[in-house]
Amino acid sequence: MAKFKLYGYEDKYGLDEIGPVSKTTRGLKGALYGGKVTDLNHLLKRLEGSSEVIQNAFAAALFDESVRVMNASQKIVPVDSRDLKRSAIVKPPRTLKRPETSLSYNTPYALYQHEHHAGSEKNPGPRAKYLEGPMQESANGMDKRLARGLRKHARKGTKVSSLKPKTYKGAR
Amino acid sequence: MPTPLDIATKVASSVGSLTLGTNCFAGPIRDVGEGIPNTAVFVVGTGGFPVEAFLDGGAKGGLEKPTVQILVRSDRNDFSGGVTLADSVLAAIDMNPPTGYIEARTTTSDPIYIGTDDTGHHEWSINVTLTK
Repeated sequence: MAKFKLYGYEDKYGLDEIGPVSKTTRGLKGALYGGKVTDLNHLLKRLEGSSEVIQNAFAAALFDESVRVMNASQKIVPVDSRDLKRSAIVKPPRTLKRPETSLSYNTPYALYQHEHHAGSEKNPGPRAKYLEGPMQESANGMDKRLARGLRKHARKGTKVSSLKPKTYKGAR
Repeated sequence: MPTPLDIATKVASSVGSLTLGTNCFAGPIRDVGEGIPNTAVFVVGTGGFPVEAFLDGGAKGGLEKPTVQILVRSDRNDFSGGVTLADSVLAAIDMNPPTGYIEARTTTSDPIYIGTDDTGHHEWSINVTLTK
């Protein structure tokens, strides 16, 4: 099962041309980490003592899964001027010890749009929970996908340092 | 009973200023109007996680993990009153599941302030993961 956190965050990277430039922005940030999964339990328990190849492969598999979730979110995120949709970014893990990816939408109204349900002029449509929904749905089968991803990246020798953030600036 | 109604009932019975059907509702947020006061709490289901199936002495069973969202709306321009109410709602439900539920955990330590609606009411969101 995936764990998901929802909290405001301080944008240290700015919003560049997508939205208002601000040093402090209340956006929406979800973190997908860990994985209490059936056939990976034994691997996770030994992860700290396992080879760097396995640790890197797991981090890469986690990043793949996060991109998958964000791709699903992109299909249901509310679209008006596309600023919100194009503000999405998935960041890969930075460490091997406790690999953690982050999925975020980076506009000032991302949080309100995500949490506020339909019924007002400010948010007339029913498109709330556009990130939490795909996160919850991804729990189904995540263990198998992570296991497949781990095997794939272990064979390829993927390193976490080679993973680049996935942006959606060109999303339609 | 549907999960949102269970949670709305629990919250209304635990927070003194709330009454089910008067200012605490199961369902999406509604604009202020007849029967819907300024200060109000709304509980809506948000799906949840897949059922964890298990076998119990040969019989099939499952642990359900539904999630709900509690939206707290303050009186117009009454931020502090809204904070107090939202904190009370969170305290009423976190680690305090209703009858028939094994666990109720909020996903954040504090209510999430999401801003104001069109008419100046402050709003907070509390997301709850349940097990039954």
